[in-house]
Amino acid sequence: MLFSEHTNGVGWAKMTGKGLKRKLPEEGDLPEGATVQKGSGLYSAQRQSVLNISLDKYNRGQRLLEPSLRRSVLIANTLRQIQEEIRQEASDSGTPQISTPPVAQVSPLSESSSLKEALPTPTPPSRLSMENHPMGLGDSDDWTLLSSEEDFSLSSAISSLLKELDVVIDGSPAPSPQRTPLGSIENLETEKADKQEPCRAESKHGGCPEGCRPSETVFGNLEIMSSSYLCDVALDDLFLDIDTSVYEREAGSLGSRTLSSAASDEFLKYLPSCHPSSFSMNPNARDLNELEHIMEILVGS
Amino acid sequence: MAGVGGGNDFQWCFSQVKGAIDEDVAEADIISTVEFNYSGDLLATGDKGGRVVIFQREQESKNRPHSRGEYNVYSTFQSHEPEFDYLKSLEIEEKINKIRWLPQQNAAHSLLSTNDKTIKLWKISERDKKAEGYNLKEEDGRLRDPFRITSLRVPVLQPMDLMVEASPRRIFANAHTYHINSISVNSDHETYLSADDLRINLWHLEITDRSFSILFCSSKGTIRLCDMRAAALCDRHTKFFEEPEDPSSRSFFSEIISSISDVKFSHSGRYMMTRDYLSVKVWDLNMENRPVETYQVHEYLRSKLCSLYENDCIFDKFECCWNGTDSAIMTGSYNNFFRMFDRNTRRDITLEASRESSKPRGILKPRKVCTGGKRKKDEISVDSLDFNKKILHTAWHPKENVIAVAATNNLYIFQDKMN
Repeated sequence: MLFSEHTNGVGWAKMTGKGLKRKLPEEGDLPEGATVQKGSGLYSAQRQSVLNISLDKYNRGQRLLEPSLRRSVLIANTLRQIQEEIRQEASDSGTPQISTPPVAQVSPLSESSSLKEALPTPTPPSRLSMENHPMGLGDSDDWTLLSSEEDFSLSSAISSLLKELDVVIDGSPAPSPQRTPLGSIENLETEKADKQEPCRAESKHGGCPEGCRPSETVFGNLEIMSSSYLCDVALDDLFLDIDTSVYEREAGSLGSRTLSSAASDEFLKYLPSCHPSSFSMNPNARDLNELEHIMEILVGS
Repeated sequence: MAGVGGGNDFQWCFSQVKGAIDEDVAEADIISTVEFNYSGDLLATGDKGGRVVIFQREQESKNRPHSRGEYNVYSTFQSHEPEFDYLKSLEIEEKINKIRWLPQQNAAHSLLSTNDKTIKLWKISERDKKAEGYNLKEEDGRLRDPFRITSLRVPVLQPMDLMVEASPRRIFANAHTYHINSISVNSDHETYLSADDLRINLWHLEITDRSFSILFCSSKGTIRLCDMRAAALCDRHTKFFEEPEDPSSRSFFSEIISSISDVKFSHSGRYMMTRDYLSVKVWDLNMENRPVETYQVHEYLRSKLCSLYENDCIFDKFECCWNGTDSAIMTGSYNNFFRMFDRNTRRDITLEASRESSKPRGILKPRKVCTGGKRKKDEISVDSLDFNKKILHTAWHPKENVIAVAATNNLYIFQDKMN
C-alpha cells in the first residue's frame, strides 16, 4: 500500500527511516510561514515547489480506484491559493507604474485628452504612447523610450492591451482587473440534476465566493432520495474549470517577471520563438519583440 | 480509572498481538478499522480485503485472577467483496472503512460494516445445540419417504461444538456518491447515520431502500453539529465550531493540515474531540469559538509538510478515541507510535507498537522523538521515522484500561499493569 506512487522527480528521497540521504537541498523542509519572508526568493522557490507537486497530483491520469473527494478538493484548493497569490503579486507589481486606474487606459478616444490633463504625475513614456494610440503601438521609435527598468510597465502595458482587446472583442466594458480563467468550482454544476449542490471548496475565509449559495440555505435541505444512482457528475468534471495549462506556463516562466498575468499568457502562445533582433544589446530585446508582435496581432485584427 | 502512563502509578504493558509476523505484508491483511463493542467483550477488526474478524475475551480464569482475559478469534467472515462500477468504470474497494456495533438486544450480536459504498448489517449468532431426530428427514438431510414412517418422535436438542455464524441481515446501498468514511448509531437504536466527504445520510435500520440526506458544506477546520431532536431541518439548530486561524502560522498547507480526519463524542456527551493532521482538540459542546484543549501530536512534522504533501502522507486520516471515563485520549502517529494524553494531569506519553517490545506482560517503554539539537540515547530523530508504519486506528475498551492498536496488518492489545 504503503507509499503512494506519487513521488515525482523533485529530488526528494522517501523518508523510509533507512537513513537515505537526500539528493537535493530541501527547500520544502524549511519552516514555512513564520520565518520565510513572503517576498523573498526562498518563498517563491517553496511556492514553486508546492505548485509543481500540486500540478503533478492534479494531473495524474485516471486511476482505477475512485479518488477521494477530500484529497482532490484539498489539492485543488492549494493550487488555487497559490494562483491567487501569484495573481495578487502581479497586480501589486503593476500598480506603482500606473498613476491612473487601468480602466482609464481603455476609455474611448474622445475622452483621452481630458484624461491626459487629469493625470497628476507624468507617466512613463510607454504609458503616454498608449494613451495616444490605444490600439496602435506600431511606432518603433517608442521602443527606444523603454529602458530596463520598465519591465513592470511593460507587463502593465500588456495587461491593459489585453483588457482593451476584451473591449473590442466582447463589446462589453472592460472586465475587473483580475481576470479569472479559473472559474470557482462552485459555479460548475449547472448540469447537475441535484439542485442542492453545496459549495465544494470554500475560500480560506470560510465564505463562498460569488456564484455559490450561502451555506445556511444549502444546509437546511433534507430530502428523501431513492436508492437509485445519483446524477452527480464524476469527480473529474468538478475540476474542469481549473485551467492547468496556465500553471504549466507559469511553472516555466517563473524566472521572467513580466507577463505573469494569466491572461497575457494566452497571447504568449501565439508568439514565435524569440530570435535576436537589432536591439540585441538591450536586455529587453526579447520582450520588445514580443510586444511588437502582440501589437501586430492587435492591429491586424 | 487512570489513563496515561509515565510515573510509578500506571504503566502499559503488552498483552497480545494478532496477525502475521512476515515483513512482507499482504495488502488485504492491512487492518482498516478497530472497534470494541459496548461491553468490551468483543473486539471487531476490518481489513482491506473486506474481512471482519471478531475477537472475544475469555472469561477470567480462576487460576490466574490477576491477569485479564485474552482476546481470541470468535468469528471471521467476508463482509464485502470488490465490485466494479460499470457506469463510472471504477473499482469499488472492498476495504472495510468502519465497523459499528449495535446495542445487543437479544442473544445475537449485530454490527454495521461499511466499505466505500455499501453498508451491511450483520447478525452474529451462536449455535451450540442442534436438533436431532427429525421425522421427515435423515440425519444427513435426506428426505425420508413418508410412507416408510411408522412412528413419530419428538426431536431432541443435542449439544454441539459452538458455531458462530454471521449472516447479513440488511444491505444499504447506492446512497453515497463519494466514499463512506464513517457510520454512527443513534441513541434511539433504530436509526443510524452514514457520512461521506460531502453528505450525511440518515437510515432506518429496517428500511434499506431509502435514506434521508443532509447536505452540508465541507470546509476546513470547522465542524457543524446538528441537533436532530429539535427539527428535521438542520439549518437552524446547528452549532458551528471553528477556531480562528493564527495568521502568523499560515502556510501553503494550512488548509490541508486543518482538515479534520476524525470526530468523536465523549462518553459523557459533553465534549467532542477532533483530529487534524498535527493535533487533537477537545471542544466543549457549549462553546463554539475555540477548543478547550489542544494537544500536539507530532508538531515536529510541521517543518516537513512539503515532503509529506509530496508523498501523500499529509492526507493520512488519523483517528482518535476517548477512554471510558473521558479522562484520557489516544491517537496514532508514524513509526508505529501512538500517543496518549491525560486531560487531568496534562501528561502525555508516546508508545510504540512493535514486535520488539512485545514480550508477554512486558512494560512498554515511553518513546521520544528528537526534534533538534543533540539526540539523546533512545531518542529517534525525525528523519529516521518510518512513514510507512502509521497507526491510524486505535480503540479503547469502554470500561477498562485495555487498548487495541492497529499497526498495518497487526493488531496489538495492551493493558495496564496490575500493581
